[in-house]
Amino acid sequence: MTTPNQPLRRPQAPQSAGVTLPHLPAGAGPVIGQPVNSVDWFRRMPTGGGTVFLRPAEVEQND
Amino acid sequence: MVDERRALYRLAVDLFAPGAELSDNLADHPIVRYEIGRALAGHGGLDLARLTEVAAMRVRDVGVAVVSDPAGAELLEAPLRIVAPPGASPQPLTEADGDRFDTVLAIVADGVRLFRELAPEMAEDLLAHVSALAVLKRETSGGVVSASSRYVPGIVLIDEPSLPIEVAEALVHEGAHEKFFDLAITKEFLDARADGADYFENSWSHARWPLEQTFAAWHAYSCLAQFNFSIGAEQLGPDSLLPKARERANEIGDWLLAHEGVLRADSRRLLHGLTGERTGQGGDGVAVRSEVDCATLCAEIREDGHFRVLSDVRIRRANTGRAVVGRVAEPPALYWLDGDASWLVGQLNGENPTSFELLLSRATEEWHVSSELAARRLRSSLGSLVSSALIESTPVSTNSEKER
Repeated sequence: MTTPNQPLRRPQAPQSAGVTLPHLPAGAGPVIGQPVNSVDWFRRMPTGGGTVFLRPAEVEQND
Repeated sequence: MVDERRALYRLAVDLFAPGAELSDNLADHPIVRYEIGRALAGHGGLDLARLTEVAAMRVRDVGVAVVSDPAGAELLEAPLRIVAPPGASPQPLTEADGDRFDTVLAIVADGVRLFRELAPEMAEDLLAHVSALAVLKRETSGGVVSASSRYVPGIVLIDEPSLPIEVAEALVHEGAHEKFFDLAITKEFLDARADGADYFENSWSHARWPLEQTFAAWHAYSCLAQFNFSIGAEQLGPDSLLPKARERANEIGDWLLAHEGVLRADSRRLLHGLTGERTGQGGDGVAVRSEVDCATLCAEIREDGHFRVLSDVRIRRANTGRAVVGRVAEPPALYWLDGDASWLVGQLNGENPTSFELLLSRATEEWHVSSELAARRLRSSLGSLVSSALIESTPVSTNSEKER
């Protein structure tokens, strides 16, 4: 752990600058799966949210 | 995968606090990730001062970062609350506990070393997903042997150990869960359909698990079964799952294979890879689905069209080349792009629309494919990006494009 422990401020691009990304080569393979995939993980809120291994004598909800 | 995860969290921070940048240390920190996750779930904004405060938590590095801060109970309030069995209030062992902490720290250090000696490749793989470990005081743990939480990813909690092998096994078990959490946010893994899927009922305790927990348990048991091959004559702890791991992994794996219709492409690949089952009809369906979507989405993409990124969209690219994209909203919407779509957004900007013709010319050259195939792949990516409201199609070009 050698990197800073506080958020750094970097120069802000103007809103209209949009995206400035390097032109990277794409995979030459066929399209498999979806080009755009939504990250639903954070919005899904299952009950509990813990994966807990308890001593067998304690409870039967072990993962 | 770790770099992709960092890219996602950095993008998220950029959406809440434009211009703020996370170091690797902050982007990996479990409580920082908890705070960002809460904001992404729609539970308020992001307090940068809070991130700085929690990241100052003291740890001792013994191969993994062990929480040592006397204020650990307050700083780890969220994971301690989430994993607490009913009626229990687990408390972390810290430097404030003096020799008792030092004794445990030495056992943890030996456990990490043992893990690396017995299964070096697995240790390298799983420990990359463990940013911190907290040891629970035995009199407070309420029967917890080891635990982790999807809401506070990156931290493993273990009961006060007596043997290094207990630590090693816990790192396999919970490290597998931590890796699963990272897979779930960086790969095509599970989606909203997982919530409506059948429950799995195991044969050993008859507990019923939702799909997400079932997959997490299968992944952990699969890793434990693999680890069991490596331990030789090592004396196991009294609560070890290693002797039962293969049988349980097989039971859960068989159920998942029978229910893989609700899994997405990468979770199916992992399932088939670890179970040794050939990808069957369900796996083929992933590719077929893309063709169907392409037929629908591609029809909307005109070859005389021009495209640009919408102004409320931000993009981060991981070292792998994959791009993660966020749209400013409450809460923000996040998307991972595949290789073609990642390349494509790198060609576009937020001001000057770029023509399909120019994109096709570049794609044909850089992808080393025929113009016909490049056009098909471009249409698929453009169609998905437009339908997700990440880019827009504009009717006319500007002079700027001709100058590029």
